[in-house]
Amino acid sequence: MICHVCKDRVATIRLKEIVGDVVTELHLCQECFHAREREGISGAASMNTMLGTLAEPEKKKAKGKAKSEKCPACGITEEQFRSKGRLGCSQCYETFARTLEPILTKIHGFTEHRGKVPRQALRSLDMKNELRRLHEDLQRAIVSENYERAAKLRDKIRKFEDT
Amino acid sequence: MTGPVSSKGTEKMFEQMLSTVGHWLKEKGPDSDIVYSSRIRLARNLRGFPFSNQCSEQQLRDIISLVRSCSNRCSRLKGAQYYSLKDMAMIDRQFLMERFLVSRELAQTSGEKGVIVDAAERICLMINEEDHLRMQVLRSGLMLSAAWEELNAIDDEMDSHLDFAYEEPWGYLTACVSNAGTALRASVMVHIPGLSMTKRILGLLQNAGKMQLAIRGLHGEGSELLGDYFQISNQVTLGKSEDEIVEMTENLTRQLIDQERSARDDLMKNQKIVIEDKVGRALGILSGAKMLSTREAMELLSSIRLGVYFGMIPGMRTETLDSLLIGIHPAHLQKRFPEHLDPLARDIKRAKLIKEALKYGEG
Repeated sequence: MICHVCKDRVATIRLKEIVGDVVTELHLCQECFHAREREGISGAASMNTMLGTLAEPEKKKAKGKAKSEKCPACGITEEQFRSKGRLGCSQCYETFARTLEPILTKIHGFTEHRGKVPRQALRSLDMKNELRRLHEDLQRAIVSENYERAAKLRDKIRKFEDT
Repeated sequence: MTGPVSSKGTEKMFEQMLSTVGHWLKEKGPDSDIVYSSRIRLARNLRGFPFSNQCSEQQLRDIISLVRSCSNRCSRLKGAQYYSLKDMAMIDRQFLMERFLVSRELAQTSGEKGVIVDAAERICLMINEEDHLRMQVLRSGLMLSAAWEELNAIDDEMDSHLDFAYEEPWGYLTACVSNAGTALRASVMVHIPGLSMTKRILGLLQNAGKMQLAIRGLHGEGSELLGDYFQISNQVTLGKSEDEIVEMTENLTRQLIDQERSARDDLMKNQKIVIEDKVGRALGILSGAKMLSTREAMELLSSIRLGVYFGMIPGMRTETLDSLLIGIHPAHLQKRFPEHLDPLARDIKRAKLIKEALKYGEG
């Protein structure tokens, strides 16, 4: 979405302004938002807006395509995902993997999960990978001198190795 | 607000809730003078079903029944109450939202949705929101780690009965990619009038993105900013472990608390008269006003809370202010009266309620 004020740059911030009883919603770029700051605080960034603006350049690129990709499991198209910002099912992650990668990088800075694994998935995972991850975390904790966390990780590794 | 005054079957339950605040709020956790609440939320979807937005009515009903039967076996959810939102009146859904028990999205849409709430209103499980299951634990003050520990244990219990959608390399799969990975949102609701008055909040708003934080109104995404109350939460859910996310959000909140205390000290040192004026005016308006909108009331109560912090209002109890923060909202007000209240009538009742409560608070 284009900034409502300068009508030039891409809007990344949604701003609600309340003047008297009138509530107006503005989509602003960083520069115009900072310019408005002098007038007071009334803004909150929205993830939907962010997703919308992230999807915008991709949408333009996709215009040339004859047909957008469709999830074989739930039937939603790439276009539907872009307009709603929501996926239809687990399979969509696989189907739209290439589209999702830059979006995930932009939002999270990462594309791979590091964290809890549910019971079912844990069984099917290579236990060595999990152990390696814990060791990496332990190294990081030691380097950053976070000894409390390091001790917790050490115990976790021991417990893991025992099982 | 339109529709019936209450849904059948929930009147008694909600009547009891109306007379008190959630037990979690009574805990008075660490730094609760600035951090109103800590919340951890996990999103989960069930393998074998499309996400809620693509489910048939029957599939949504099946998910409700699976989650309910699993929660019945969950030791930490003993005695929890299930509320179906399908036939629930709008006012009741809004009532639950005002108590932070359901999200705005769940309150504003109808259909096969439900929520499971424990007696202390500390744990809730939203069913068929954007994701099939959204579990949250609420605590008073800065207690993110404790809330995470509790929710992690609930998640483990639920996980032993349900098959959650999870795939490498993305982690837990969610309808919106902004939640993928851990699907964990750690948020705190903070009252930061000091940073607001000294304009230091501008720096926080500018740097929020760099700190990977989202700053929103009291009721999360899309909600208004009211009375210097903000909800601050992590943006990143993928690529960091749950412990790291919780620790990072807790550390940043701790820094924020220090900044707020320092801003309040500076204000007291250099602009005592400004604070006294602000608090005095708020007391004056609240004791004399005949009509108050939610927005105005929230802003004035925010000033009163600051006055209590500085010991400017002897005898005023923060418990009274805490309960008003929830009780002055439209659905809570409406539920106190059998007749339908239009917005003007609500403003009149709100002014009266606050006047009575503050008198009691000073007693």
